[in-house]
Parts: sequence; structure tokens; C-alpha cells
Amino acid sequence: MRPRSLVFLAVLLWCTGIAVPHVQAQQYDFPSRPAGPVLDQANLLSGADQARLAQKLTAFEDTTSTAVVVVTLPSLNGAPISDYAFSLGRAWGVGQEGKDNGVVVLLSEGDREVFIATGYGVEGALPDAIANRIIEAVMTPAFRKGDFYAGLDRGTDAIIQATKGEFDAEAARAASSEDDGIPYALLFTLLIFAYFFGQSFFRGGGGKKSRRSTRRGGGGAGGSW
Amino acid sequence: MRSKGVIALVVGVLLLGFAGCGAASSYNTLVQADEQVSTAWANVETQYQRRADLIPNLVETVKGAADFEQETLQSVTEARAKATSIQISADDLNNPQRLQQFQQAQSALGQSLGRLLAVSENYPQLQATQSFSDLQAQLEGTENRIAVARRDYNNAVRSYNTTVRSFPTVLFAGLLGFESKAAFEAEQGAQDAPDVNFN
Repeated sequence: MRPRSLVFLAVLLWCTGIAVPHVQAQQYDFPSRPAGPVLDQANLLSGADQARLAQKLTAFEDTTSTAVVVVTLPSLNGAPISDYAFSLGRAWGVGQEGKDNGVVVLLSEGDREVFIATGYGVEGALPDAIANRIIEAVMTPAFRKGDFYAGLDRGTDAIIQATKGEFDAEAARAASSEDDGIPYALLFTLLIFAYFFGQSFFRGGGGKKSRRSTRRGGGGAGGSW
Repeated sequence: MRSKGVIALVVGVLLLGFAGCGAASSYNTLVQADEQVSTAWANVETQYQRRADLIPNLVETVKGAADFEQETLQSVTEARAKATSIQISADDLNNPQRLQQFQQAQSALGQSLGRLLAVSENYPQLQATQSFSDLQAQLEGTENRIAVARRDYNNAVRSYNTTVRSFPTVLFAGLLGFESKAAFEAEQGAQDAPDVNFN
């Protein structure tokens, strides 16, 4: 009886299939995913800022199921920002499985680069061209001033608007433009923005780095400041 | 005498069952891995197609905004025609030469696009238009997605090939018509491809 049951066991094992171990190369050492949607490893945001940002993004995910996470890093250690952002989004499983509707906003302080990685499910609402406009018109102007919270806050606002089809790059650019020759009609709006901006600037603290010339590298939805 | 016959019969039945079960489970594993390769390949094609679809628009925008070097534009258009003429169906993926041809045509297109964008730096009024900056962003984004899709495909192929060559699947893979599939080779400078410095 004993040997026969052994044979039976062997056949059973055989039939269920022998699992081929999948060796998935882990390219980067990702930080473990926090409970909330914000991970500030570069320490650019105050606790209150983080909480506000997290609250907004959580509320957005609750209503639309689109997940937006914000990650700041001190440095990429030489990794291409686009690749890092995509891989991180996958490793964390940002967005709903099957819908692939996650967005990763990755900021590297040391590299002075920012990238918006979008899952296939959000690409229709947030195409690369729009993500790029958000970075150039909304985020980098604030980052240049060292106001990381304002850049991330208004950047994520713009992402949320874009997914609802409401983002207007021209208006945003006008609002945070630094170019000369601003039409008078915009000056007034600018003044109002400057007021709010100044407020959040003093709240936020921020970097002391000198401004560098713009150099884009990362990819469609990336930019540096 | 009789009990020996019974034992032989039992052993025979067991062996048959053994082989049958093995074949069935191997077959299922293979089909699954094969399906993953096909899906990954479809995605690779989609992303390359997307890049190709952006090009006519890019060429028009460039033509419209500046008196642009004809030679550069022409080489992009030609490279695009060549790249889109090579299509590989999922059934042809076991042919490394075909995949290599595909890869060469696509990377030639990528290079001529890189040249076009590099030359466009000499045209500030072109760079300043929103439509050009949008197209540039879309192209960069597509290059990133191509890189991701290619890596996914290579991973799927690696796992499929591992299955095909592993015991016990290897005993049945040939019989059932599952052959090893070809993967993309790392290109010279493939890492830099999306990093063409546009500004």
C-alpha cells in the first residue's frame, strides 16, 4: 500500500505542474510603499504640507479610482528618471490592477529633475504632451523658486484637472510665467497669484540652490529646473 | 502468475497516466507562457506604431514652422516607410533574423528622428511653438514606453524559453510545436535613445 500511495503522490505532483521559478531582475532598491500617497524621502515638505497633499490625493483616488502618488528622492544615483518612475509605479502597484490607472510624480532634488509617469489607463486623460505642459508651466517655475510644496500641490491639481479634461496650459503658463512682456491684463492675475505664492513660500521654506539653465532629458513627461 | 499480470497492467496504466498528465500540464504551462509573449509583443508593436504615427505630424509641423533642411526630413520619412514595412506576427517570433531586421529598421528610424530633433535646435522659432513642444514630449514619452514594452517582451520571452527548455516540459515542447523565441538584443547606445538632448 505504501509504495503505491507514494507513486500516486508523485503523479499528483507531476500533474499539478512543476513551477518554474521566475527570476525577475530587480533593478533598483525601491523604498517600501508608505500607507499614504506621499513619500518625501528628500525632506522637502513639512508634515502639514504632506498631510494636505496626501488628503487631496486620497480624496481624488476615492472618487475616481485614479491613484496619484508623489515621491521625492534626494538623488537618483545615476538612474534615468523615466525608467525609475515607471519601475517604481510597477513595483508598488500604483493604480488598480487591470485598469492600470496609476500616476507617479517623481522628484529628485539632487538631479533637479521631475517626471510624471502615467499608466496605460490614464494615458488617454493625461497624455505625455499634457504631462509635459504641467511640468513646464506649473511645476518647474515653483521648483526654481525652491517652493517644492507649491510646485507639487499645483502640479497635482493640474493632473487632477487634466484627468477631468479641464487643464488649460495657457492659463497655467500665464499664471506662473516668468517671461518679459506680460500683457497688462495678466499683471493683475499675476499679482493675486504672487500673493498666494508668497504665503505658501514663507510657509514652505525650501531649497537654497542657485538657478540653473533648463535642460530636459528624462522623457516625455519629464523635466528639470 | 495472475497477480504479476495485474501488476504489469497497473504499472502500464500508471505510466500512461503519468505521461498524459505530464503532457497536459506541460501544454498548459506552455500555452500560458506563449500567450504572455504574444501579449507583450502586441504591446511592442503598438508602441512602435505609435511612434510611426507621430511622424507625419512632426514633419508637417517642422515644414510649416521653418525652412527646414530637406535632407533630414526626407531621411526620417524614408526610415519610417522602411520601419513600417517590416511587420512580424506573433507566430514569427521564433525567427531571430526577422526580429533583428525589425529591430534594425526601428533603430534606424529612432536615429534619424534623433537627428531631426537635434537639428531643430537651430530653429528657435520652431522650438517656441506649442505644437512642436507637444510633439516632442509625445515622442519622448513614446520612446520611454517602447523601452518598457521591449523589456517586458524580453522578460516574457525569457520566461517562455526557460519553460520550453526545462524538464519535464522539454520532453513535450518539441512534440507540441513550441520552439524557443527570439528576444531583442541590447542596442549600442540603446540606453541613451530616449535621452536625446532636445533643448
